[in-house]
Amino acid sequence: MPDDALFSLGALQQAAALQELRECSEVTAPLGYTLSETEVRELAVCRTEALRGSGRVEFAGGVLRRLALRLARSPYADRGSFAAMLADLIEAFYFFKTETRDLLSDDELIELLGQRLDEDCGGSAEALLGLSWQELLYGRGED
Amino acid sequence: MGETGLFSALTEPERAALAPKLWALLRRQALLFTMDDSTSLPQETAERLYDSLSFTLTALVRARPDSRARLLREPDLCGLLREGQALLRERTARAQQLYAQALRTAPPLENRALLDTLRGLGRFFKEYDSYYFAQEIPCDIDYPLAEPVPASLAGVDYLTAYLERLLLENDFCGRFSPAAARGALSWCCPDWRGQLVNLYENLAAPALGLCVLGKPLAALRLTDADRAALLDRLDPRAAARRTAGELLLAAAEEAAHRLQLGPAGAAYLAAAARALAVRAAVAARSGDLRGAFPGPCT
Repeated sequence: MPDDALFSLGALQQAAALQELRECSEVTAPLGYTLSETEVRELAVCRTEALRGSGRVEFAGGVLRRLALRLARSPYADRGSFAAMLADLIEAFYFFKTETRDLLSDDELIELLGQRLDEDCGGSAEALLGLSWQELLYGRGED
Repeated sequence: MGETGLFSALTEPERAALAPKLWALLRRQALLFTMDDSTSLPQETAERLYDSLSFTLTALVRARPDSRARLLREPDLCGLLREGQALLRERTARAQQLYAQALRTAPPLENRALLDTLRGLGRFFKEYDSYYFAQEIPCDIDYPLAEPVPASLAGVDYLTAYLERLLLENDFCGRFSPAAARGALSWCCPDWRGQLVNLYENLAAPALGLCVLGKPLAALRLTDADRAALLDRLDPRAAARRTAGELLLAAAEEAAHRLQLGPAGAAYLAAAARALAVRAAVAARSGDLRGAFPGPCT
């Protein structure tokens, strides 16, 4: 199989990502956060771009749902910007998976991102991407 | 891994049918690799895992051609992968025996690269991962063979081919006294102990030269007079003369007989003779065979 075919097969994952995002919306709806179909599609594209940008390949679902649930627990989560915050969180997740050399499990990283979002970044998911991996692990202002 | 891998023998429709099953197998392998702690992997790691699957399944299909049809017929590839991994474990066990033999038969010649490589090959058996990275060779192999292993081989297959060739070289080098061998090596390269030189071809050259002249091989020593006689035999201007290739191949056959080499050893020596013939023909044109047949100045 030519090398690029390996990753074009990742397109099979695109459909799975769309489905997962729709399911996320159902899970976060009781918490007051839903995603429109347009937002679902945009988030699926965002995920694909984040994977490509961080040089990663996704093999299974579940991360998007867990990110959405963690975001929904944040005191800074906002109905109007939930989709945009989730997009930034997805990008930060894959970025830091690579930055931390896969030494953190998905669950560990999701929890850390949530902590930093709430405690160090004032609820700005975009600001998460400005953290160093040390700040991600240890927080700002600590040695 | 490109088109020389698993897909090279398949038609386009067969590849299309196999692709989703390969993806499912890769997905399973990736999740096992991360122990379900991560659903994604760096691209480079994913490619390594994929190359390992391709290497393993290709090894199985080549060893057992009936499994090719099963690739397309069976709903998933897990069973075939397990069979391929079992095959690689058998090959690893065989390679380990070859390695033990290589250690036992190493000639008592103090070439640093050979000694370091022999020592380092042991790391392969500690670190070879036939489950996730079967195509990789987790050790350094610096000592150059007279007949290099084709780059198309990988993993345990590369190591096995390397050891098989090394054993043939060990066997040949061991047919001569260490003193004669050290003498011959010092004429070709004063620092043969420290340099990255192949011992076999530097002993094969004087042995083949002496055979061309019908002289005894034991001393591995070609004098200036011997080289002059060789030059006369290799003179391309004499139309009735045999070519360098013909002379040296005949010498290889004679040497194999005299040294009682097995068929594989004889074939390996013939290959060395073919390579030497090219150098000898070039050197003969310049009138000085010392580059192809080193020896003392007498």
